[in-house]
Amino acid sequence: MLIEFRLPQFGMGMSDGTITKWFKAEGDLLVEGETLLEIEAAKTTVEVPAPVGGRLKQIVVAADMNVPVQTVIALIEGEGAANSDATPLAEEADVPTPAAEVAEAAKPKATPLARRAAEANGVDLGSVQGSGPGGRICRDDVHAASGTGQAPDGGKRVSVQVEPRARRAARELGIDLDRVTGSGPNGRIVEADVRSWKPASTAAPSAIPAPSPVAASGATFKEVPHSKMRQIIAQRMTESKQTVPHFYLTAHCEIDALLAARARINAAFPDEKVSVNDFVIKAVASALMKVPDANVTWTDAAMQRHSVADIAMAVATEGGLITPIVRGAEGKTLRTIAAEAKDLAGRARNGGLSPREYKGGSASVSNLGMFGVEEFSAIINPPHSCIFAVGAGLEKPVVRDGALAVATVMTVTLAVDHRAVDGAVAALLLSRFKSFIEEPLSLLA
Amino acid sequence: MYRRMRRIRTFEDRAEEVHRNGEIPGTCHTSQGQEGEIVGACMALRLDDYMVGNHRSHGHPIGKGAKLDGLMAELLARKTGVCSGKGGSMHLADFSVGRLGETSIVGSGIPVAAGAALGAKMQGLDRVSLCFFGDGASNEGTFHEGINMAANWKLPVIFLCENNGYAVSTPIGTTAAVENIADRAAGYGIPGVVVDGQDVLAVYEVVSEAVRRARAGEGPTLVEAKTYRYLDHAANMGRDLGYRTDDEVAQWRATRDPIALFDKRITTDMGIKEADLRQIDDEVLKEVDAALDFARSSPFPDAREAFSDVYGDRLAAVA
Amino acid sequence: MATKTFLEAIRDAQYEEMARDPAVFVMGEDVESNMFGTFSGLMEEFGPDRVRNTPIAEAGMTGVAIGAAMVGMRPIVDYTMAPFLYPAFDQIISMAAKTRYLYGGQGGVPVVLRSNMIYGNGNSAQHSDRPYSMFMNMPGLNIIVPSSAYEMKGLLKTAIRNNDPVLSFEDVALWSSKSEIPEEEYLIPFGVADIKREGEDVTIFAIGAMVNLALAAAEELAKEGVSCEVIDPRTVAPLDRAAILKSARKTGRFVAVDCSFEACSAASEVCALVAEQAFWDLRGPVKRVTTMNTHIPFSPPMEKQLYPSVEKVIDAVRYTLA
Repeated sequence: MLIEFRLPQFGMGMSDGTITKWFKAEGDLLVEGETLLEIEAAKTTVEVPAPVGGRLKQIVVAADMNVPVQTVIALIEGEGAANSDATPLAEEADVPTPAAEVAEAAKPKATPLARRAAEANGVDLGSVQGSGPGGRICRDDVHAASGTGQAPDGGKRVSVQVEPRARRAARELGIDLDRVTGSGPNGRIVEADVRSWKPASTAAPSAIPAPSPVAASGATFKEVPHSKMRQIIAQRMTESKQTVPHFYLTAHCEIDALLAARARINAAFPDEKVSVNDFVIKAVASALMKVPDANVTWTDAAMQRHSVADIAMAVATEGGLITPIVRGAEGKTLRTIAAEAKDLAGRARNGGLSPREYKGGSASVSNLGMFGVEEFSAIINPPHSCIFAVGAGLEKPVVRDGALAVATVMTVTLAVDHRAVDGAVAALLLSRFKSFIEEPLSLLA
Repeated sequence: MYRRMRRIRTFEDRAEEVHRNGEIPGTCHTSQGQEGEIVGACMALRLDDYMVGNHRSHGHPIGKGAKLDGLMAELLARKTGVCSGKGGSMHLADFSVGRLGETSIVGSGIPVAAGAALGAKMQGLDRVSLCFFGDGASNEGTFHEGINMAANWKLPVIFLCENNGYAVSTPIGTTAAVENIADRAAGYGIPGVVVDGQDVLAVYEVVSEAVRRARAGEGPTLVEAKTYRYLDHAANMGRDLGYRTDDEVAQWRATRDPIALFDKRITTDMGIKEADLRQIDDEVLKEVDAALDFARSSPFPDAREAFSDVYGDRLAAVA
Repeated sequence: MATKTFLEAIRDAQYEEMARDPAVFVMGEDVESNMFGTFSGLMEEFGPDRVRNTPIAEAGMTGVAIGAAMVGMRPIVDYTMAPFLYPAFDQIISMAAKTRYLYGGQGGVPVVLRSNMIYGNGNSAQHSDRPYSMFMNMPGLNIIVPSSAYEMKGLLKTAIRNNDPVLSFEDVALWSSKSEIPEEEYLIPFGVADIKREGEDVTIFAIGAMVNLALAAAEELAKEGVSCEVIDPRTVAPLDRAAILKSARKTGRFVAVDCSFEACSAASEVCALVAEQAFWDLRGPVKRVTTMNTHIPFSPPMEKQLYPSVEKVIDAVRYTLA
């Protein structure tokens, strides 16, 4: 269905804006949240994300044009069921209200840049006020909230002073200066700031008040030495976050057809029950085979292009997270995948996996749906080039042919290694995945 | 005396050739035509007397008796050169025969020559100091200051002006108001003597008298040797500057060549055999060839040598 | 120990070296009349041969000194004032600085060229020069800029015994300053800086008479809790780079006080050194305190403002702390 995309208003005083750049051309696929255009208004420059996934059917207002707020600037052909968060086809000049489906527990809508900035600065997106369309959180909102010395200056980073000693210390210790708060004059980062910096536990002071540390003598905590597994998880996750340039794409998949298919399969094979996640694994594998440019692993010397789809699945065990691999999932039936997944997960929990069973692979699937998590972003497991973060399938209102309907929607967020896979390829991958999920019979063909 | 003049001529001819085929970096200021005044003056001195010269340096150390090997090697930029490859054509100086160097800033050697004479006098040595400089240098401030101080303190110096008529391309007549450079001597209260620079014996006589005066404590003398240089100021001047005619050069070569004149004089008036002179010519040719061979087979200096000899007690302060 | 003034230190150094080595002699304009007291007793002791008046012929007298030095003497040339070095510039550069090198070490030029720096006294543009920085640019020269009577004597004796040219710049502001001078002979080596005051927060590099300014500034700043380290190079050629860098690395802040004109000053040289080689130890920018880049005027309200002062040094330190 066709959606009119109107020039949003950022801030009360904005009356018009100039489109400085379209990042997509007519006919391009859009992924919801992906940066679509750049607008200059009142001396600030803002990146605007696509409000829905779909296809950019028409650019109504070209670049370098200045138009009043709420002017229709593009037409987007929404994919399947349009996201309920899309800009309503209204004539009001007000800021469109956030869609009703934004749940408390879920991460709020944020641009990929905003998500990254939040990640890097330890900001909880839940505490950030979004100034984008639909209450979407933009990068500047994160910076404004984080107070890490970066002024919300319309998309332009303000450089923080760093004294040479501090820079050297940061290099020595492998600390990202973007994460350090400066205590020197003008917010300058001094050596002591770097040497006393601790990872992960630093939340941005103004966004979340840090839990007041209790003196060592007051026993409100106990020190538990790290297990090897915890150390490895910490090291690998940190390495992934620090070295892999992540970017994120989200798709909302209607899974009613999938659920129906599952029910029928399980009725036919009652002893070999298939779960939604098994469908997901198969869909991921199939999508990777359809988009071979995404079925890759980055190495410094060359790109490894896989000819099979070995999909790792995240399994929570008592000791921590482990990701056993379903090899060649693209060629396995759902029942085979189900059986293997169950076996791998069981042995994972007992510590009975061999290294071959959890090392390698080209993509991961992490599913927190069973915990009721609606939407989340995961961290890529090196050497994979992507990870699919799958949320719960929840009944949601959807728009079909202009009328409200109810569907079971499962939100999947794909995290991608930008060294290996570019936006368009990732978008295609996600799009294919969504197609496989929403039309499960295509997994058989 | 003949040998030394022939040495200068052959050496310079060979140097010019070698420079033309690119084996001598930089410039080359040669002294063909000036052998008479150079040798005549140098031979009036003892080996331990001091000498300082100028950029047209090659003839001076040869005139004072230096070996040719180190001189040729220096021209060819080898580490076995007299200056270890650091000086080159303009500074061809063998301190064992002169002690004061050959300096290429015009006129800069004049007060230094006076200073050496002062040093000798203060140490009670009866050495004298000979200063070679050109007609152009006589217009420099240092000419005035150096000669004045030497005259004042009665220093044992012989200031020898090698007047070859041109300062690069400028005739001396257009830049000096006096007829002879030696006329300026009166302004300092010292004797000024003009001599035919192409007559080696005449020069020898005049300088010997100046040396005698100096050693006797009578003070400095300004000697002006009228001479001529056959080649251009420097070997790679490029275009013809047009300040003199080819005829003029040819004329001097034909009628005023100091070696030819001396040759004639000693064979005619002094009973020296032609054959003996040709023999010397031959020996000198071999000497120069040997010097060139020595130079060509010597190694170049190591790049790191650039940092030595800046100071006596440490290397150059390269950060 | 005896207390001596800066001028007396010069005189004593010359006297002692002339007594020790018959090759040493002094020459210059008006040395016989002993205008400043730096030649007292020399004529009587050593005779007119070794204490010589020269004509006003700076280039000539420099050349004469060089020639004498090349054949075994050790002349000390007194130019009276530093700007009078300029007429001798070619002899100093082309002959003194370059001779050892040009001839591949066949000879050397052991001359000492002394001059005073007088400024801030209404002597106008031609008579108020502080040119040691200019000479730093040329290899082959040693340059001493003593900061006290003690340093003056030790450095000058070393200079006279050195086998290469040495330029001595003697700040008139220090002439009547006094130090305790040991009875025993002492020499101060070239290229060895002296930490005049130890500190933690900022390094103040200061030359000659500027050392006193730096120390006074350090005293003031100490009251505010800023701990300054003052380093005196004593010789600007050779320059004790290692000591300067060590101090800069320790404190992380660097101020250079130099009475030269700012452009291409000694202060600029050491600041570049610190910025290049101690950058990662710095906590703030480097800062020069020098004489402003304009000619020295005659009238006091115009002149006084131009030179370094204790206030300017304090401001510079604050600049590096900001």
